[in-house]
Amino acid sequence: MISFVRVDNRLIHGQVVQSWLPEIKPAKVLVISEQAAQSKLMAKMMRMALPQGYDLEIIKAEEAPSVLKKDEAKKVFVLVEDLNQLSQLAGQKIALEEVNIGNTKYEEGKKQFSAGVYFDKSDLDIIENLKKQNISFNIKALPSSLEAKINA
Amino acid sequence: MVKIIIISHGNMAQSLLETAAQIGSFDTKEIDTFSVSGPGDLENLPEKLLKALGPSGTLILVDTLGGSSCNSAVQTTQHLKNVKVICGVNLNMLLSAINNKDKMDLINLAAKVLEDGKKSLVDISERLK
Repeated sequence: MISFVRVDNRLIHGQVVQSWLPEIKPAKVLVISEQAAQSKLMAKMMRMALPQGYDLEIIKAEEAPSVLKKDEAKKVFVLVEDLNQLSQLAGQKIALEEVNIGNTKYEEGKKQFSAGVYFDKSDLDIIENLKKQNISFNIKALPSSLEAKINA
Repeated sequence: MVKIIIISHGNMAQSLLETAAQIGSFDTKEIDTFSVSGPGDLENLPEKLLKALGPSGTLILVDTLGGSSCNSAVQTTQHLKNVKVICGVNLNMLLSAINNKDKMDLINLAAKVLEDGKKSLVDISERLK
């Protein structure tokens, strides 16, 4: 059972470990990252960074439906690397409802929306498209941060 | 001489270096600091880091295990033999690194800095009872 969804290109890092996990208290962190799913090093480092007591699984977006089905009884914190992969999840009929955007990759030409969040036109298109599917978004780094507005 | 690099969130790396320079005497230009908090900082870190490495080994001190500073440093240098990354840098560790970087090779320096870091954590109130 999904208890929280966050888009964060830094995946498991300080903000997630120090602030979000104690707030959400999931049983499991499910990392959706094409890159991390193929890297033993990243998997090892994420396990080290995650405090004991949380399950961890690192998968590609296409594996999400079966994994989430298996985890139906668990509180799962879904940590997605980027908006493209979030869009893939939505395309697989995974109920996302509300999505927190914490950090996105900075690239030249992207517009800054909050401390770690940058969007280009294609990111904003994805967000618009997902909003039409009744998914709502909040942009904030930490639970206590002020929400940034998505005004393109 | 082992090259010392500090990587942190925010201004910690630069401030730590400036603070160390008030206590120890050394040339701050020998040490590079990077932050992962500004626009593009994290994306540009691998290239900058690789350029900053030293010929006789590099000790990278990062602020926190599992932080972006740590993750990026490890991923960037994973295939390099003469680089070591240590997490949890504090002032004592940085001073230890600075004081010993000209006397030790990378392996011994890393062990020394880690040991001095552990020794620096003391419940002084308890010890004075």
